[in-house]
Amino acid sequence: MGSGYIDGSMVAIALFLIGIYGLLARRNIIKSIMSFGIIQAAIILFFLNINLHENVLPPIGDASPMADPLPQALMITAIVIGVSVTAVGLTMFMSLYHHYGTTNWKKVVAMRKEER
Amino acid sequence: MSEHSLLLRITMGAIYPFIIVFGIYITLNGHISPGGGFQGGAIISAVFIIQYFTTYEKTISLHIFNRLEKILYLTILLFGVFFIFQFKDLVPFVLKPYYLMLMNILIGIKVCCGLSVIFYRFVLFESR
Amino acid sequence: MMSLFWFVILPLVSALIGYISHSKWAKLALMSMQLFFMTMAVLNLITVKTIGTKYEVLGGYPVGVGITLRADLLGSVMILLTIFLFTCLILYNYHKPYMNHLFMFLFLALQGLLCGLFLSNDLFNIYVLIEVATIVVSILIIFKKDSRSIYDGMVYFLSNLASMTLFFLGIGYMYKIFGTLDLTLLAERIALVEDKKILIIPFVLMITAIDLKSAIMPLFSWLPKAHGTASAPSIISATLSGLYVKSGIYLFIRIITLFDPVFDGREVFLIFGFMTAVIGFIFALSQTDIKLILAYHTVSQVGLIVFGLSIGSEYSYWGSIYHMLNHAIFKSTLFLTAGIIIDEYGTRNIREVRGVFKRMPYVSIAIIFAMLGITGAPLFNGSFSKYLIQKGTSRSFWFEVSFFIINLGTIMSFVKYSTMLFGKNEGRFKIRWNQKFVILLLATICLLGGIFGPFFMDILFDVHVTISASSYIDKFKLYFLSLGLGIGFYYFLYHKIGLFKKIRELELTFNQIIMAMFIFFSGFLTYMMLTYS
Repeated sequence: MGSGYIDGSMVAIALFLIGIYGLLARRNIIKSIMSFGIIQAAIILFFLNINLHENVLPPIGDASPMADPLPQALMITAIVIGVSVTAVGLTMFMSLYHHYGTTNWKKVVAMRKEER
Repeated sequence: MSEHSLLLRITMGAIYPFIIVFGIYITLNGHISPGGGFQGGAIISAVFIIQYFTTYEKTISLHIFNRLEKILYLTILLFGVFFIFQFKDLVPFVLKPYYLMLMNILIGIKVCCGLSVIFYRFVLFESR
Repeated sequence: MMSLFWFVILPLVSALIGYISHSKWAKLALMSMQLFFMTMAVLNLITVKTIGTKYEVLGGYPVGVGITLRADLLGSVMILLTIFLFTCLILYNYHKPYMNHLFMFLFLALQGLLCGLFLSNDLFNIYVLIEVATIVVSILIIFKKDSRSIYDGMVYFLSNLASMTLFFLGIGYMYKIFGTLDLTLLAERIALVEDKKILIIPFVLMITAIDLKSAIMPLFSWLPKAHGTASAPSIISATLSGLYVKSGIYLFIRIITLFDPVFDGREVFLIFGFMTAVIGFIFALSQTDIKLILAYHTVSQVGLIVFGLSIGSEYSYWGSIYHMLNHAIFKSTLFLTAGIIIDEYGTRNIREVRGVFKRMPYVSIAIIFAMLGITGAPLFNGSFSKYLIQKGTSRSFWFEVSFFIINLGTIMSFVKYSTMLFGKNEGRFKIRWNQKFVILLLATICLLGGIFGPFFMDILFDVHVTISASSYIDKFKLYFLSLGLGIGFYYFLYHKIGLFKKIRELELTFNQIIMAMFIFFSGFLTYMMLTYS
């Protein structure tokens, strides 16, 4: 699968760093929640690439050499967690937008200071 | 909006039985091929989401979905606990795939209810 | 004797049945289930003490293949504390109007998740349970849908989520290196590692995540917002401060013990614990909101516990663990009474609340007992745990000085807190019987935990400590000296320092929290690479 350096793990870590950049530098709340989606996709990709090398078959029935089935089972749980976390985050954002009327972190903090 | 609806209505009206069959296939074969309860349930809930886009009268009873989901959750927990943790050795080997199939079906229905409730809560909240 | 997984599943199942059936008897049935759980927890503790650590693999599979639950001494004591506190809190809140079936379901689900966290032996289990607990807690924080609490709940939710993603990446690296995620097997395999450098990245990732969860410097900004928010129910603040932060420290103990043969992070955490404690009480002194004072003070106490854990002496270690239990009890008392005071007076500003002692005598007795406990008055439980931590500091002069500074800070912040007890006020406040019972019960435990301190340490942890009469007199002298210094500082110097007002305005936005986490991560990574290359 390509040269030895561009591995699945490297792509996963690059995506992870892109997600962290999105959390650090973007002031829109929706972009923060989207960055969480990117980070979760990156980590799932990292787990699936753990024991992977060429000529590996999916773990169905009798197959050898077989890919590692344990990370695949764990990642189903991780995907479910990702979906529910996104849903809860978006619901909270909807209530926040209803109260404050803005989608910017800094503007929300400024409005809160005036409320006090 | 009405043009949009016409195109979607005709296309989805032709397709949605296939989506349901596909979802049931993925749910039932969870123990021997990729798939299982969660994936099948997500596909079947797509049908309920399509119904929102294609019908004019938006009538759906969220109350039934909520109740059904909680009852199924309880059933899944009790089944899993009592079957796996207590009676595992009493069941012959032949019946075990049927247990997995039953759990997959229950999880599939629960996930379908859950995702539809999430979608409808989002959509109906905005129009308030 | 029941299997361990019932501790996790039974609260969930019973609360779910209560939620679905909508019956009137649900609350009463759930209270009796709680008493059943308490007996089970006590039986479990007795079993673990007599037989030893109890392992249970779910489903009967061999170890390493199935999910393992482990009940050792520390875990069993934490489960007993969790169930006891939850019982008290449900009794306290019995009559409140928002205590409907949904609230009970979420609250009891939180109890099941915390018990599962203290029992689990598998890293991925820990990740899943903490994620679900984060969701449940943030829903409970914004349960009353007030506008201020939504922002606090959201910042809490997103910051904890960010730290958990780092933890998850660390788990990925651990699986890649070792091929298993079971803590017992990992402990065996770590000892065989020859090249220490490959373990640096997972260690730093996991420690950054745990730092944010247990609110160690510099990542504690989410804590005062979540604990001291305006309209969170007071039992939620009590649960968060009392138990949830302790679960972060529990994870800290487990991960440090796991990596013990390879890395020795003790000096770093000594410094971090001390700085957290100092910054915590400086912030606590500068607030005027009752709940925010208590919330920042939790940060300070967590710093003290981490300081005690990293000293390295046996006495300090068990003293810190005993201090975790004590802190849960007195912080819960303080938060519950603060909730009563806020309901009655209608204001959260400490400058406006006066005369609590005349108006609500029972409440003020509970506050006085809890304050004496937390500041370390002799005969109260706080003094016993602080005495044990101090026995370990006698090795080095700098440790003693730092410990004295932390204690002094605690006393100063509570002198400020106690100014609301004095003054005149008319009217009596009729307190309901369940609230009175709970807060007096918790306050009495503060007193009993001090008098019977060595007895409790013996039956809970098997640690034998004897205190002579002369050291009691020493402790009295030291306590009154610190008390005098604290009162003197507050009444003479406090109003002259203008720095406090500026500190009150300091607040970090969400982006800055993530930036702080990233800086901490890079800094710690550089330190580890320089030390171990």
